[in-house]
Amino acid sequence: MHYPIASDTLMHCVYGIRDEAHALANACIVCGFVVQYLNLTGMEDLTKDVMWDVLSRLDFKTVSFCKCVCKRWRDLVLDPYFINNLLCSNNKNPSLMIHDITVLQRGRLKWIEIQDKVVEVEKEQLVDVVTIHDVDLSRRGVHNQFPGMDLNVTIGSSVNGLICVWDTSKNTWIVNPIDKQYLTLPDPPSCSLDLIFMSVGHGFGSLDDATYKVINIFKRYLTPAYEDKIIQIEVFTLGTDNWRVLEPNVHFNNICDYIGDGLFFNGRVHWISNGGHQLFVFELDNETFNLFPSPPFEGEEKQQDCRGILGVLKGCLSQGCYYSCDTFTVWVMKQHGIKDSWYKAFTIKETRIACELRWRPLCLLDGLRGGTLIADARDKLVAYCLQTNTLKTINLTSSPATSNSRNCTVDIINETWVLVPRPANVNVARSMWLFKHKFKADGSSSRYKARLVANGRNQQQGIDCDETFSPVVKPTTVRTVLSLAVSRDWPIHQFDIKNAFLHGHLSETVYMHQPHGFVDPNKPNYVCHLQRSLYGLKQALRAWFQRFASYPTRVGFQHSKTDSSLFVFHRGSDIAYLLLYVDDIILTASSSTFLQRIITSLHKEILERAHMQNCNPCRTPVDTESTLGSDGDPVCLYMHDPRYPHFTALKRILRYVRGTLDYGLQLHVSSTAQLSAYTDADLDGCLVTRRSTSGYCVFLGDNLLSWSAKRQVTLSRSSAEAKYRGVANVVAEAAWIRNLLCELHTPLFTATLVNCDNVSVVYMSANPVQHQRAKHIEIDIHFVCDFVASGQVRVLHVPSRF
Amino acid sequence: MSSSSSSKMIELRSSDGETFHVEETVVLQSETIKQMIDDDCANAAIPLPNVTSMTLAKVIEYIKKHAEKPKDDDDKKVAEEDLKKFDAEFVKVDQESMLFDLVRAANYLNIKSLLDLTCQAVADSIKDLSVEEVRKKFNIQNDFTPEEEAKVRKENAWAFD
Repeated sequence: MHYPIASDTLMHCVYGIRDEAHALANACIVCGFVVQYLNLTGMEDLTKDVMWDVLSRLDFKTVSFCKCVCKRWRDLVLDPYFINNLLCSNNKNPSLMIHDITVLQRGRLKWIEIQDKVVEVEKEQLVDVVTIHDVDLSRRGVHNQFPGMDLNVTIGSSVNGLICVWDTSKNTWIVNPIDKQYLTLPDPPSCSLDLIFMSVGHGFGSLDDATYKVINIFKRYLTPAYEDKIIQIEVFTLGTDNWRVLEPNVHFNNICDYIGDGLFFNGRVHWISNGGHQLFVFELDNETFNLFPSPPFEGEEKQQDCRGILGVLKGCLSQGCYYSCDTFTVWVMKQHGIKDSWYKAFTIKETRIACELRWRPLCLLDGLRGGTLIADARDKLVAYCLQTNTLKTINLTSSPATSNSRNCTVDIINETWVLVPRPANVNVARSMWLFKHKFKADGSSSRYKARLVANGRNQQQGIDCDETFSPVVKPTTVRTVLSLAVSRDWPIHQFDIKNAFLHGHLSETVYMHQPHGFVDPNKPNYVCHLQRSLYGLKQALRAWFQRFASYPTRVGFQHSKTDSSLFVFHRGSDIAYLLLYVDDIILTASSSTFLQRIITSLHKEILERAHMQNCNPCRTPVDTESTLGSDGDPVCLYMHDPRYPHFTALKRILRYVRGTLDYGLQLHVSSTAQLSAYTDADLDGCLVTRRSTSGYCVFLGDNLLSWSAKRQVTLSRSSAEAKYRGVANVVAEAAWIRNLLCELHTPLFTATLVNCDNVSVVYMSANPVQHQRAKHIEIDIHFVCDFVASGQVRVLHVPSRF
Repeated sequence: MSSSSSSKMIELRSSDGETFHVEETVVLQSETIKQMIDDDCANAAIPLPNVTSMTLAKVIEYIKKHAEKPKDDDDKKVAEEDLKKFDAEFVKVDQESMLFDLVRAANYLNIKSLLDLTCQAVADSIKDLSVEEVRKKFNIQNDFTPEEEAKVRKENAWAFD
């Protein structure tokens, strides 16, 4: 029944009276209404969050049961967000607290385990396995075995969510994630054998039927004494309806009782397994079967552990290495040419970490680009560099934001300092970790970044820092070089030097406290004597610049005099320009082979230990920090004492910047023979100081190189005077650009054209007549006149209507 | 103003227009109101359009009780016991709808301890019930078709043991 009464009226009926007895009595009277009303404030009214809060307090069984109450409840329970939350918050197993992606994965995995109880109860009930699929197993193959269960059901899954289920009743199913149907595969050949098996159905491959493979691995005991064991591998390729038996013909000394994570790559199936004393990497390439056993583990205890180990394969396949970990040791298999070999990567000494790792199948995170391996052990982080085979970092205990830094880039900090006992009476700089989320262009999180920065604030000049000035390239130089390169169709290369500052050598003695979380337990009172500069030190920039600047001069580049961050190479017809902006390098050269040669030499010389990233060529780095004024009054003048109107003006500027974010400066192919400039000024444009504002822009051919809009420093008495000062400014700038171009080996042979809309300025520049009203700007007049007389500059008149 | 903050009263107005006066220190347990106070929006009566006067009265009773500070350690133990008893009694409401109102109010006002308490109470009341009882108790319409219900029950059969 529906009562056409507004709900708030009902509210008044029921709750308008505060006395509960009255309310109840009233409720009885409007009984029908009450029911309706209760409906309104029933559970239906509770928001999702609150419902999840309630549901998360229930045990798994009750949660499952709640699915039957109504559709909304069912949807709430099956919501992936809820499942993940539930599993993360309720779970006593710390192994679920791995970094984000793994939490999801493990969360889903766990859900399978929950669901697996369904399988356990009703043996043929596999429908729920399909519903798990709503939860999306897509990221990576997951696989789990349920030790200690009577029914040996194994669920494997593939990269794109195909699940394969196999149980001791010898049935194998594949669940298709798209139509949620499951397909029963024909009996595998091993069914006919009288053997004891302890293995799995594993799904690998892509949705493309031809490549989808189901793999069963069986152990066959030939004698009851379990002495001779042979492994047998059965492969089912979808669409062929046939099982294929692969006999690797390897007699395992040990039992292969765990099949680890696997993946499908380049048409091959890779997976890892552990035997009693070894790890094995299997590789299945269509017809051929390769096996790479690790060296046997040593020691009784380790062999014991090995059984419980979760061998992990996560491939840096592109680098041709696999890695795996047992309780105490991380093993790496690496490709050396065509030959693969295993070696022990590093040993974990602390039992506690080892124990945690042991129960953490996904403890090895993906290899980072540089071949760094990160093992995650709850609150510890172990980084191992595959390239140099060294263990770089360990122990992130008590570091803030540890949970996020699991996935962090460990900036390699060896050789950066040496530990020394703390000398008396020295200044010891503090340091801190900065954690940063790096995002991809589409907004998704790409990685977490942790960086150690020193606090340079306590540094005192003359004691632990000297000169701190470091030149940076002028934006005009960048534009000039790019303009030249574009006009001549030269290749441009941009480098970004990772951890640039860590390459700078320190000439001063700087001490720093040991970084948080990385305090050497044996030498807690020691301090770090820095060998290299760190981010945050006052001289970091300078140290890096000096380190770098020595390189180009050594290989024949010339330091430019007009811009100290510009390096020019000129030999015969080969010309190259190199621009250094802190840790960004732009390099352009007259031919691509020559450019490549320079890059190689650069690579050898200075970047050999840093990681270079090639960026898109020719992304114009335009200076966007323009100072805009409101009412002709630059806001930056009030930074020391901002007031409310300045704040509004600032907001206006930010809105302007926001609105013009995607504006760029386009450089065209144009002749580079002509430098032209435009200038204008207003007389007493600033109402407060009555000073004039003059502006100019300088073009090389069609390309804008330099511009400015500035309030003049002195008062002008006439518009001609104001404009004349503007002309003087632009002539100065143009002269600098001419010098620059000269150094870039493209000298100009024509005069710079300066366009101005004031006739008297044009006259004054041509004839230095003394005039009553221009006496006081004599220097400017002579400056311009000299340039005009020497033929470098011509001042032209442009009527202001243009 | 801050010097007399202990005695400063905050005015709350429920959805049905009734106003309540509560000490600021007490009402700070609600994150929502705390934010309002921080943002300086609490000078006039704070309207709470989602909370009825009856619920609000209950909520205020709860936060007042929880704002009491014990004087010494002996007192503390007694007070903790007392608070536990109070909490247990507090969630024993006659009607489920009242409990939901409290949950909603706690959620809206963002009082963590009250939300925990009431959600736990709702969760406890779900335990050990049959599906029909749950539907009846919480007045939930069964929107499954008979076939659907049979299917979903079969899938989750293990939960009905």
